[in-house]
Formats: sequence, structure tokens, C-alpha cells
Amino acid sequence: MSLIKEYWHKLSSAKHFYPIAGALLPWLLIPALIMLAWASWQGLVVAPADYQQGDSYRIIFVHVPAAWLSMMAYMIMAVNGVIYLVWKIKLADIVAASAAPIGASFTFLALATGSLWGKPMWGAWWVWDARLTSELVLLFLYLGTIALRGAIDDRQRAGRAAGLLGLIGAINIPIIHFSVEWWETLHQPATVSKFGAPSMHPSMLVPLLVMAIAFTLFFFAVLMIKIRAGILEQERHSRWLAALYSDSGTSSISPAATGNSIEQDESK
Amino acid sequence: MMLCALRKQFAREMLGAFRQPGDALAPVVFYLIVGTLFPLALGADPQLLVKIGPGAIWIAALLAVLLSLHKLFRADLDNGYLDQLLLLPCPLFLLIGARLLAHWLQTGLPILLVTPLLAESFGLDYNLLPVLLASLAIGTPVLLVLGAINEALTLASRGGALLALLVLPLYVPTLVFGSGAVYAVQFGESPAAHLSLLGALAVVSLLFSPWAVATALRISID
Amino acid sequence: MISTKNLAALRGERLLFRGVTFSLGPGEAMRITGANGSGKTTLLRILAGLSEPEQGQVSWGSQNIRDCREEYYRHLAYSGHQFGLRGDLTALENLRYLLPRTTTDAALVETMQQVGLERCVDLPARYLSQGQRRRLILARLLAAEASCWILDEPLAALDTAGIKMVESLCAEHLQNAGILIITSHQNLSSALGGIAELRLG
Repeated sequence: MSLIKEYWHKLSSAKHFYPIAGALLPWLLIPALIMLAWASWQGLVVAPADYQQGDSYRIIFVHVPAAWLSMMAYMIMAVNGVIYLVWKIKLADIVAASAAPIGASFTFLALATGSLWGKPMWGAWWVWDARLTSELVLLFLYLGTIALRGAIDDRQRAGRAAGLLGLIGAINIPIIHFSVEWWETLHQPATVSKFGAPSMHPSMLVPLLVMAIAFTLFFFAVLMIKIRAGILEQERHSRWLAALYSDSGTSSISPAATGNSIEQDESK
Repeated sequence: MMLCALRKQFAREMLGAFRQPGDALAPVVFYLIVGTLFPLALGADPQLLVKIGPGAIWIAALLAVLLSLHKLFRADLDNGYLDQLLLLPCPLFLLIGARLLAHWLQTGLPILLVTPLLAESFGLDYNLLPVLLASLAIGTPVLLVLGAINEALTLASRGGALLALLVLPLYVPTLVFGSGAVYAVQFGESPAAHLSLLGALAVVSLLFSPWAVATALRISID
Repeated sequence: MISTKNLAALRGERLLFRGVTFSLGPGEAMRITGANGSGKTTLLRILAGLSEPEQGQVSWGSQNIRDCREEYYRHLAYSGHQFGLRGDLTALENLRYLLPRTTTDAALVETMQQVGLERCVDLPARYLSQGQRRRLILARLLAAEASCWILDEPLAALDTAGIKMVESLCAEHLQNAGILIITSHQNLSSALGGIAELRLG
């Protein structure tokens, strides 16, 4: 039990997580790029055209994983936000702040690809489909959280406010999904979901799943990069960081008057 | 002492409204104005107005509540009363509840009273009035308490148009269920499902929001 | 009794103070001094429980104030830079709503007389001068029956008569086994007896 506690303590400390994130990075990025390449080729070239939608269905290989990622990223952001709010672990705040823009980008990607899909199918750049509308609302949640964080000057306060908002959003998302689907059936009684994925042949399903895994790995790779940047910014006055980089001979980073920061080594 | 503090909090908010009646009536006036804008922009075709009426009235109510949110905390933050509020020997979420109740009486209740006028201006059938009033009666408190969370969170921020983004995610379910209930009756169906969903939303948000607002206030004041 | 252990506070990324530890019992007073920006107001707000310290804790009796908020606030009266007065309410009404316990208007008017505000009872608060507002806050302190007073710059904007009034009220408070924590640029008269001093920055 104390081993777990020790692990947790190490993991939640920026000082220890920084090199871990760096070490994980190539293991995430390289498989991600390989899988992206393979799945793209499979999905865009190899898989047969759908008999109903023709070739335009192929956009689901990007649209669906992007939508999945947008939800997963939000959960990661919300969970870390709550961890910061309750236990005040600064690394959690960095993770939440880093996940937000990446998640927002995936949401935007899902919306854009959804729109691109809709054009050849329904002749319009935007359709008020339940899922697209839900994604749009999710995008607003993301952008609002990012805006809130940016609009509050005090860093700690911003992190706590964003954490609370993330929690509220997370509770709200299932309610929004449900209400938007309700809304769709209310006003368009006999609707087949406009974006129903074609029944999936294995040759389509496998690249889709591989693409989803690739997106996930890519997300975490970018997340690691952003977390490292966040740690650099937060810990720029600390001694361990200066020591880490002064080994390489760069003397331009000097530990700023160390009396200026409460020692972070032992605390979270 | 706790009950007394709650009573006094409520009394303070109500008294303040009577001292500044213009301020207090602004949301209702705005509600009527927005309602009037629809036929002006869309044309006064009676059939069209009947069709868009329930939705337009709901939008007007939503915007009116949204507009009234700034009165909740901003002034007391500026004059230092919010500090004193947090220092009362009474659970903060209860005090918030008392304050929100007072504000609903100043915003939501007048909206309800004036709704028949607006319904008439859209030419809505009389049988829609009960469900319209019921949906607004349940829905406006929800809009108020959810908006209060937004307001409390952004109290410490520099503000900005981007923060209005938060409105949509919070308000979509209420708007859908509320206006849906009225449309159900217009289509000749029962509004029971919509109203019960709205009611469930109301119960959850009324129970949860005062706590969320209290937490957000503590964060903003820190 | 109020005590702190190892308090530290940040503003943004700047460390304001650390290692602040003290305890005050009934009848004891403390004056916090320091240059502008050294964290005096922040310390007071942390003591009142309005801000969270970066490190350390504040205790009322033997409990952390976070665990006994209501109990602590029953005995606390805090007065900050702003007075918490609502402009469109009268002075009397403001006083009434600043006090959580049951009060009668007659008793409040009497308290206002004690601080020299008998002519301002029904005046909307926005017409009060700075000095009059200060006195209203004094009236509130008198009426609050709190055993712990935390005052931020209580002497600011007061004339000599006002300053004397504050000092005598504080002295009386201490004699009644109250606790006093203030920040002040000015020296308080020796009428208050021995005051511990805490210098920040």
C-alpha cells in the first residue's frame, strides 16, 4: 500500500513527472504516426466504397475517432480539474489546462469533418443533426473553459474556477446529449440519424479502430509535450529545473532568488 | 442565528429592489422588448407568429434572465458586502439560496405575470397558456440558478464576450424541454414528458446549484 | 483563542510571507505592520478564512477554522478596506443587515448614537462621508458582540476624535476579554496597553 502511495506521490509531483513524460513521448508518438499512416491508407484507399454513400463515407475514419477523442479529452480535463480543486495537486492543473485546447481542436475537427460529410450527402454545409449539435455545444464548453482560464489573472484561482466549470460541464454533457436527441425527434418526427455509419464490414471496422487508437496515442503524445511545457513554465524558478539544464552547460538559466518560491520538492 | 441571517439576507435583497425599482423592472421590460422584436423582424403573418410564438417567448425569457444575472453579485463584490456574506455564521449555500429566491421573485415572477400579454401578441391559442406558464415557472428558476454559477465563476475574471459561450451549454436542455412542452400542446400531444424532464432538471439544478455557486464564490473571492 | 501555524501566502507567483506562527488569547492584541504590498491585508483575509493560505493553517481554539467555520464566525467581526455598505439602503438598514443575529431597530439607533451618527440614521449610505462610514462600521463592531475583531486599517480617514473613539472601543473590547488583530500605519496610543507587533516583508 505504501508502495502505491509512493508511486502516486512521485507521479503527482511535477519534478518527477517531467522526465517520465519525456520518456513516454517517443513511445506514444511513433506508434501513433505509424498507425495513422496505415489506417489512413486502409481507410482511404483499400476499403471498398459503401454501396449507399459511395466514397464520401470515408470521412468517418476521421470524424468518428475525432468525436470519441473530443469526449475523452473532456473527461481527462474534467477529472484533473476536480483533482486540482479538491487536492490542490498542481500537476493536475497543468494536465487539465493542457488537455483543453487539444480537446477543443479534436472537437473542431469532428465538426469540420461532419460538415464536410454533410455537404455531398445533404447539400448543406451544416445540418442540425443531434450529434453535430451536441459536438457544437461541447465546443462551446471547451472554448468557454479556455476563455475562463485566460480571463482570470491569478493562476491558482483560474485553475480552480476552470476545475469547477469542468465538473459542471461533465455533469451537463450527458444531459445535453439527451436533450438534443430529444429535440431532434421532437421537431423532425421520422428521422433516421443523418450520420448513421454504414453497417460495418470488417475491412472498414479494423481501420476505424486502428485510427481511433492512433488518435488516442497522438492525443497523449501532444498532451505530454504540453504538460512538459506547462511544468517548465510553472517551475521556472525552481532549483531542480535549473540543475537539470545547467548540466548541459547553458548558464543563462540561473535559479532566481530561491527564497522567492516555497520549495516544491517535498510538497505536491 | 442561522434562520435570522437567512431572513435578513432575503429582506436585504428585496428591500434593495424596492429602492431601485427601475433596476428591478429592467428584465421584464427587456422580455417584452425582445418579444416585440420577433414580429418586427420576421413579419406579422399570423400563422408564422403562432408557429414561432412558444419558442420566441422562451428565448425572450432566457435572454431576460441572462441580462439580470449581473445584479446578483457584482455590486456586492464592489462594495465589499460579499466578504461579509462569506463571514456569516450560516452555511453559504443556504444564503445563496435565499438570495436566488429573492432574485427570482424580482425577475422570474414578473416575467410570468407579463407572459399572457406576450402570448396574446403572438396570437397564441388560450389553451397554450397554462403549459406556457407552467414551463416558464419551472424553467426560469433553473435558468437563474445555472446562470448564477456562470456569474459567480466569472466574477474574478476580466470578463469578455467569450464567456457568453458558457451560456449555451448550460441552457440548452432547459430551453429544449421548456419550449418543447409548449410545442407538444400545440401539436395536440401531452406535455407531460417534457414537463417531467424539465421538473427533473429543476430538482437537480436547484439542489446542486447553490453549492456550486458557493464554491465558485469562494474561489473568486480568494 | 486564535492561533496560526506556519502560514505562507502567495500572490500570483510572488511569495508574500512564510512561517507566520502566533497565538492570541482573550484580552490580547496584535498589530501587523509592514510596507505597502507586504501582505498585511492578505494575512488578515487568511485569518478571517476568506483566503486560503499556501501553507499552514489557522485555528480557532483547537480546531482548524475550515472545520468549524460557523462556530468561528459567530465570534468574529472582520472589517476590510471596503465597508460592505449598500448605497441605496439607509445607514440603519445597512447596520441591520450586517448583523446576523436578531436585532431591534431601537437598539441599533442607540448604538449609532454612541458613535455619533444619530443624524445619519435614515440617510442613504451613499450620502455618508468616509469618516461617517467608518463610524458606522464601529457601530457594527459594537453591536456584533464578537469576541474576535480583525480590522484592516481601522484608523484611516478618521479625525482625531474618531481615532480616540476607535482606541477607546478597542481598549474596552480587550478589557472584556476580546481578541484584537489590526493593521495600521499609525501607532495606537498606549491606552491599549501592550500590543504585540508582527512585521511583514
